[in-house]
Amino acid sequence: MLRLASRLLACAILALPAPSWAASDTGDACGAPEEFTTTGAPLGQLATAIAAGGPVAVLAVGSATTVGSVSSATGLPTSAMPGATFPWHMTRALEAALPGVKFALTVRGGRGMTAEEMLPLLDAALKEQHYPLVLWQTGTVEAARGLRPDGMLDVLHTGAERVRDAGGDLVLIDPQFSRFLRANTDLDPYEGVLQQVATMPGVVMFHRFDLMRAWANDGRIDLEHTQKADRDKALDDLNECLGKALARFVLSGADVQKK
Amino acid sequence: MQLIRSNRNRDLRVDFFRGLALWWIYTDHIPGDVLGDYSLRNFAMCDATEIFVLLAGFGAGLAYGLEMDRQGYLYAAADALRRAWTLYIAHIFLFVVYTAQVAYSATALDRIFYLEETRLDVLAEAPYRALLEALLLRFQPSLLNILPLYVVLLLMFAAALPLLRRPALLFAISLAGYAVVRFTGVNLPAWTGEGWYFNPLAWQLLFMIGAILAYAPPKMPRPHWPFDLLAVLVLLSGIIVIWVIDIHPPILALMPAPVIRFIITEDKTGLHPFRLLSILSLAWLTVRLVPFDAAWVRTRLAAPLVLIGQNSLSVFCSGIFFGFLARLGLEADESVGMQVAVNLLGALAMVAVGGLAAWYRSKGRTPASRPSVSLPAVARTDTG
Repeated sequence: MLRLASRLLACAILALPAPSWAASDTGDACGAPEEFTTTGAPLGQLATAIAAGGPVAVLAVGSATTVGSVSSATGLPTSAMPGATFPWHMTRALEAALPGVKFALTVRGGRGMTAEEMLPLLDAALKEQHYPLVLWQTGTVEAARGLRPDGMLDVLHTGAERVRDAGGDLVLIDPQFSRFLRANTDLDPYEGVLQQVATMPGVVMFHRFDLMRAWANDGRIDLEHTQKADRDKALDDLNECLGKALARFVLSGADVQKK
Repeated sequence: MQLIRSNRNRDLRVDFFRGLALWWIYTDHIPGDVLGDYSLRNFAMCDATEIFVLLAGFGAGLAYGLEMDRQGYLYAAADALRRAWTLYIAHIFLFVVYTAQVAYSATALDRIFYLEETRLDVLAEAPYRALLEALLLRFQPSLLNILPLYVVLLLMFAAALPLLRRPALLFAISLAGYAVVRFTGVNLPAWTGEGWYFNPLAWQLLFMIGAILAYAPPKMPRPHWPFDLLAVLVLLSGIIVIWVIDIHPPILALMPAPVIRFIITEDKTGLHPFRLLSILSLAWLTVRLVPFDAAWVRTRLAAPLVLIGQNSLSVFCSGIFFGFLARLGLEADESVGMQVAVNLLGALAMVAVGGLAAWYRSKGRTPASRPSVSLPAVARTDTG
């Protein structure tokens, strides 16, 4: 009943004329092709939260590239430093695009974590507060270890239902582009699983692998072909660009809802 | 000097396709190698690994099966164990070489992600434990997971050897084991909590099928055409699935849920039934299209692949080493010239290693030095 009321309220708010968010300024998202920065599926919960003026709570769950990581052996960063990963850049880009709306990011997960290991963290976070937007980055660890894709499918299904029941939209994010991963693991089933879960209502998929491959082919950002001296800068650029592209992506989903 | 071993009884098709699988394993595992986009895995729901295991089983069935007939079970089983030991030593040696190569490159080039990707990073975190786990085969860096599989498959095969004479029973037991794995997911334990990358309890089925086909070849069922059709259908549906998942994922949403589940949860670890059907279909069509005495397998053009197929262990091990060098090359220089160089040099190096191994073996095989060779060449040499 409460949910119905909130839906009605949302519809009422969304019916009001408002500027198009997708057209809002998220920069050029580093030349990301439009196919990667738009979603045809609506992100209704996010739209409602933005329309309500924020602050919008965002939960990001993932492995190393989401939480940031430093090699315990060498002390060198193996992905961006904690606090500088792409979800942080996304919230910054969203705030820049929507002046006056605050976004509060919570990050959960850890290096080397599977979706199955993240599920309890997701559950715990959802119990603590309401997140209109949840990012879930996964698949890399499963592919690298050759874990069974059907197990991952069930876990993501469960997680997606929990997010939905808690009144949130879910953005699934696939592994980052890596020639090594492509050559040495069987990625297709895990990509297939993510795509399949993304057909559920309120769930969309951000194609990070393909977007990063496009950037690598353009010669814009290519971690595997970056020399030692430029590595830190390339990592920063990558995370900032991913954040901007992701901001544009979720705004397009929120925008679809309005029409 | 004759480097390629051949006689009237030897099935050179096996050597050729094993060589092809080895070459694909080389190109497939080099990140950024364009040839990796055109190998079997891009067109079928199986890849070089399936070919390799099926033909390894075939070789084992032939060699140790015939040996059992001549010398008895105990001798043949002991010989299979000796072979497993050789593979184990080769694996441990390769582990040391590969670790040194990757770790040195990672630190010299400041590319720490090499260690993460190959899963060698735990070596720095728990070095003492890691060595033990590597010896126990419970710690397998990426790429170094095929030989441990082969070792365990040979151990299982040594135990199952007498059952080769009752192929139907062997097949039934093997299939039952596979079914248990598919339903329960049971796997050999690995250090980091999850099971082996290639689950031997599942992959044994493909190996045993190969062994049975070699030792007790069943009559090809007649008429042939229903099987031809079935094989073509399996392979075609594989191509469609790859096309859908890779290129047109929205089509997935239109399929019934159980079908989607079956095709997208295709796992390599437990040898998904789709993968098994694909390799068996390929094998059927190959046998139908390439007769035993096909002339082209004996031509100069096919000779390099036949040669590396006949010396697979040396070629496989050195291929891992060359492959990492190729990766370093491609990361330093993305040009077409470098692509040509790494693929050409890699292929030449594999042929050279194969040639060297063949030459050494032929020297050691002269009647003067080994008078006890009583088995036909076909039996002695197919163990890879």
